[in-house]
Formats: sequence, structure tokens, C-alpha cells
Amino acid sequence: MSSFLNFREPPFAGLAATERQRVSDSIDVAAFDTGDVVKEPGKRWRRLLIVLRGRIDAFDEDSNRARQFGVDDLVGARDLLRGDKSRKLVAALPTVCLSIPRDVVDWLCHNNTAFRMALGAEGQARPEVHARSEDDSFTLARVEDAGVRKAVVLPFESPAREGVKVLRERKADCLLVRRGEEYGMVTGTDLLEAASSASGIDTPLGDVASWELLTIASDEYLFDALVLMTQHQVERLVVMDHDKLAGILELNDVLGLFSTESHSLGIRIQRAETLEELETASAATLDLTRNLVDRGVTVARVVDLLSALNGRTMSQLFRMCVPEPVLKGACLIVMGSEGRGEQILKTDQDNAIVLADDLEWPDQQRDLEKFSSLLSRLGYPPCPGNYMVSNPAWVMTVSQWRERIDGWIRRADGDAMLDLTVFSDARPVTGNAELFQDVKGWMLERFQVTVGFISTFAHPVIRFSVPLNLFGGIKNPDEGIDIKKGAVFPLVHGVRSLALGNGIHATNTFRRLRQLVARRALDPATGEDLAAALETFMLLRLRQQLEAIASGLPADNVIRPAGLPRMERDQLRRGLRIVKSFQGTIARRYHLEL
Amino acid sequence: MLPRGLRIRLDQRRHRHGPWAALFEDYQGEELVSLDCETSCADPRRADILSIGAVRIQGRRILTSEALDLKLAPPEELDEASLLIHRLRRQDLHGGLGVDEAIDRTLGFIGNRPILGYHIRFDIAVLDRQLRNLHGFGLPNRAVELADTFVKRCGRPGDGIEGDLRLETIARKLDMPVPKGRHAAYLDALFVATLYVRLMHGDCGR
Repeated sequence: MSSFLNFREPPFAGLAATERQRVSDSIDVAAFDTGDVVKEPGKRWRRLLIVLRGRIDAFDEDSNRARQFGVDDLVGARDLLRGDKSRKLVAALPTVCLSIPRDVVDWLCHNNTAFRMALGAEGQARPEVHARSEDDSFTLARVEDAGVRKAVVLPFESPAREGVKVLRERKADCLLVRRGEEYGMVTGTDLLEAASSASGIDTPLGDVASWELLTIASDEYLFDALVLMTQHQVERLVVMDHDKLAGILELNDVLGLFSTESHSLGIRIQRAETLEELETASAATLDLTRNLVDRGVTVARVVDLLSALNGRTMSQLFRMCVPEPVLKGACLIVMGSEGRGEQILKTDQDNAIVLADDLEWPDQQRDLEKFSSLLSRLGYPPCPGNYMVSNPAWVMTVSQWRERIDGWIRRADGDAMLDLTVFSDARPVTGNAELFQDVKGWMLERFQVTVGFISTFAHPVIRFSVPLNLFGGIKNPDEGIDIKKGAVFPLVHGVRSLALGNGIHATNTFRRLRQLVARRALDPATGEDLAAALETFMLLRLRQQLEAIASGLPADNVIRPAGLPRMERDQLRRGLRIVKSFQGTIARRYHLEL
Repeated sequence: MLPRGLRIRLDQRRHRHGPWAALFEDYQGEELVSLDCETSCADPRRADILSIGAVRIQGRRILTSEALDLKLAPPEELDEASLLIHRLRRQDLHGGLGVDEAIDRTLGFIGNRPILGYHIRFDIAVLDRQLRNLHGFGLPNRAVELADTFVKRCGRPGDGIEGDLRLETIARKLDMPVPKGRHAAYLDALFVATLYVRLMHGDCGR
């Protein structure tokens, strides 16, 4: 019980009486002297702090001050809920905080979407996850809940026969081998490979092990483990806590917990051998989206998972449509929002292909047309601008792509800029990714060396004005605002311009922001504000699109602020103001005429 | 009246093997309990307790999540006959605790921890009166006076700080907020506790 918390302020405004009560009942107070460490780097966040008096500074891994939290600020909620443990918190003044335990914050986020949004839009806070109950174990469970298996570790020189023996004895599926500080993984398949090699079962385990392991910590969310497994198509992760081996997380154990959830969907897509199987599996992604959003998983996370699933679907379909050798000499890429990994619902096919200069592909056009038409059947409508692989203009060899890029930069007219914008968000989906990296590297280099080009490129950032009136209120709250034009586009394009100008390869806007901050091209507070604003826009848009689909209407980008709860409207307005000020920043940086 | 230290010794001899022996043991832990009573008047010999608030302090943390906040039945002279006839207790009529139960719950909450307060001697005197009627002893706990702690940590000779030791002045000097709400005793206990942790984990402010 505490009486310092103002329940009229966001994010606590709008809590139901029972929710307020639970918060009240759980609050403690904590005091820190100047220089006291509030949280060590690498330690789990156990509570949400609200500064009552004083100041707390957050430091990143390189001991740079990343953020200051003053009176009434929520400290590190974003990191807390992302599971980002890297920051260190230190009291900069004598500080007294209110302290709310993490499980209560999780519970609130789960119960109350508005709270979650408000916490996210605070710019300091990004909650994702929620208290435990029977049906939502999926979003809540941590890696340790799935049962981390004890790993058998052998020296890397041990012969394969030793490995076989150990696996049989322990009834395990895989074991780890150790070389100095490094671990490698050996599976049953690897042992078979050893057995069939020249030195047979005397082959040292180190020779057949895979040494590039994906790791996760045992207190991270299982959800993140699933995203990782889905992205990399692996069935095991090594669990490491503070550089110490904790064990192995097996996909089967995870699926035991969530039999019909996202990863099993990923597996179904991956194992689909016929178009019909793929169609059924792929159709389930919409339900999955709705499900995850309803459960309060943050948009950024949903989007990560869905873009992994969309990518998987396209990759699988592509493999069904083209002959085997083509996969080595061609790279399928997706562009636009799908390329940024910010597409939530399936949309247009924005895709293209990079071919090796020497590839022979006799039925190229026929195969690609088939691919495009089957994609439509899976629910990805053809791109209105015809940015798709059935259009030969978007299927080119590496050298042709380079020329095309040079041409775009030289011409620098509206069409060229549009094409370039779409292409600059491209990411490889399947096939030989090196081909694409070659072209992308070329493009980034051209951007850097062509004087003044980034200014031209950045110009559309200020083309649409943010729908705010002179007094900072939202224009036309009743008729609605086009959130794509007036908010998402200026933000995304501004970040895109900065990223390309700084030679950053990432395409996802959140990742671009993080890298810009890391390179000091953007100050940390602006980076966080922009990320929070984008997440607000995305959530509003996604919810609206889901509603539109549920009621059978076409999904558009118009949001009616008047129809939103007050708190969400405030978040929207706050986001719009952030975009507006970002437009100014970009205009000044690139000397654009406002 | 005997000095408090002497009374505690006497009480201790009488009660150290009784049901409340635990209260008389030396406290070994690190905790403190910030305590406040809201009373009907300013004279400890006559004051009735209206509410009792207490909160534990554990190092740098104030455990507000496990606070004590007791409201007592109002002290108006009730018609004793009606109580007898209806076999009602005061608290049944008025929704507050009887003083005996409130005292026992407070003792259970504090245990043998030192108690902290602002003008803590007043609260101790009020509680002692009720406690003597009930169990025959006074509060044996070590007492910590916030005003003394403040002077000890922040006072310098000649700065006249002893002159103005109102709670609000201390809070202002330390730039600390005043908690708001309706639970008078609990709020004061919390207020004193925040000032105390701020003093123990920070400088003296302005």
C-alpha cells in the first residue's frame, strides 16, 4: 500500500479498480544514494521503478549513458519487458523510488491493453508479457519453464564412438563438445555422418560438430526462443546464463507446451510438401496474429514472428516452383514493408530476384509466373505497382542490378526514387543470399559516394504534413487521419534515409534505430521516442485492420481519433508530435526546404 | 513516573518467560518499523487511539506492500446496555477494531524490532497506556526518533537546525513529497519512513 502513486497519470490512468488495488498492494519504496547501483548489467529486471525524487541514469554495455530517468519517470520498463538485461542503472542523485514487482506489471500488461500501450508510449517502457494463467502460458513462459535439458559435454577430441555410447546411455538426442571456451553441438545425424566418413567411428567429435550455436538465457521468454528457432530453422538452442552453460532447449519440449501455436505452425509450413498443405498452414497465420495481439504480445514481437512465418511460406513455395540448381544461382528477395519485417497481415507481393550472372534457367519466366500466381492463391495479392518476380524488370543478374541502381541514382526523378525506396528495404528470403548482399553493398556504397544524394532521397520525409493543428491537437478527429501518410511514412522514410546515409544494412526500422543510436547518428532519447511512436502507430493500425477484416470491410489506413479511448488518443497525439519534430530534424540535417 | 529504560527492565524481568517473551528478546536483524497512531487528543494520558499505521523498513526498502493500517472503533460512549442486550461488540456496530485486538495485531507486526517515528515518545506513551491495561507491560522496543536522526545527520553546530524540526520542514529540506490519502496514521508512518530511508541513503539536500 502506498499513497505516492498518482493513478490519474498514464500509464496507470484507466486501470480498473481491482487492477489499481493490486498495484497499490504490491508497491514498495526504495532509496538509493548517489552512485548506488540500482541494477547490475546482465541481471534480470525484477521490478518497475518510478522515480519519486532524484534521478537514475541508465548505462549501456559500453558504459555510455543511454538515458536519464527523472521525477515521475518509469525506469527501464522497455528493457524490462523486452528481456534486455544489458543496461546498468545507477542513482545520479539521492533517489527514492516506488517499486512495483515484475509479476504485477506483467499481469497488468496482460489484462489491460490500454495500460500496455500507455507503458509502451511512455517512451521508456515496452511491456510485453503477462501473468500466468492456464491459457496463456505461451506468452508468459520462460525458457526454464519448458525444461532445459542437462547437456552432456565431451572433449572435442573424443572419438565418435564415445558420442554414440553416451547418447545411447543417456537417451539423449544430442551432446555438446568443448574446445577451450567454445562449445559445439553433435546430433545423431552428425554421428551418422562421422560413421560414414573415412575414419569411421574414430572420427573426433569436434570434426562433425556444428560450432556456430544459437544461444538464449534461461530467464528469457520462450516466445523469443521460438522466434529464434523459427528464423534459423533449428530445433535446439544452447541455454547460457552469464557465459555459463545451463543446458539445451529442445524444440520438442517447447512444442509439448504449445502444440498448436506459432512454432508448430512454422513447422507445418516448413514440412508442407504440397500446395494444399502450405495453403492450410499459411491461412492459420491470420488467426495466430489475432490471437497474439489479443493476448497482449507487443506488435514488434508479433511482427517479428509473422515475418519469419511469411518468409518461410514464400521460401517453401519458391522451392516448389523452381528447379533445384536455380536455388544456388538465384536469390528471392522481399521488399517494402515485408522487407523491413513490419508487415503484419499478408499484403501485396513486393518481391524480386537477383540472379548470378552465369545462371542458366530455361523456364525462368514460366516458373516465376507460376510462383506469383500461387502466392496470390495463398493470400498475397499481386503488387499494384507490379514490383514482383513475374515482371521481368524485377528479375535481373547482379550486374544488371548494379546498373539499375546507378541509373536510379543518376536520374533521381520521382519514379527512380520510388523504386529505390522499395528496393532499399529488401531482404533475402531464400536462395543464394550472397548475390543479394553483393547488390546491396553496391547500393550502400553508391549512396555514400554520391554527393548530396541522400538529401534528394530524404526529401519525401517532409512531403506530407503531420495531421496536427497549430495547437498541437489532432486535426479532424472525427473524419479520421491517414496514419500511413501522416505518421508512419515520414518516420520510416526518415529513419531509412539516415540508415542508408550511414551505411547501415539493417532494414527493420527498430533495428535501424538501434544501430543509428549505436553509431551516435541519433541520440538515444530520440531513438526511443521514435521506436515508441512507431509501435503505437503499428498497434493502432493492426487492431483496426483486424477489426476491418473481422467485419468484412477492406482494411485501410484511416484512423478516427475520436473513436479511440482518451488514453490511446493521447498516445497517438504524442506519437504525431514526435514525428513532427523528427521531420524538422531531418529537414535541418539534409537542408530540406520545409 | 520511572524512566522508560528502567520500566522496560522491570517489565522484562516479569515477562521474559511469559507469552510475550519474544518481544523482550534483543533484536538481531536489520529492520525497523515506522509507527504512528492517530489519536482523539494531544494528551497521552487521555487520548483514545483512532487508527494505527506501521510499515517495515528493510535496509533501503520500505515494505509498503505489507503495511499495517488499522482503524479502531470510535470511542463515543456507547450505551453499554444495548451492547449487552444485542451481544454486540463495538466493532460490530462501527466497523472498526476493538482496542485490544488492535494492540495485539500491532505487537505482532512490530515484534521486537526497533520502532521509528516522529515524536515517537507520544505514540509510545499512548500505546503503553493501553498495553498496560491489556498485558501489564509497556512497549519494550528500542525507539528511533526521526527528528534526532535528522539532526544527527544534517545538523551542524550553530546552524539553528534544532529550531525548526517540523516534519514538513524536514521534508522540504530533503525535497521529499508528502503522501496523500485518507489513512492518517498509515500515511504519517509512511511519510516518516521515506524521510528516514532518504536520510540514511542520501545527503542532506538543500
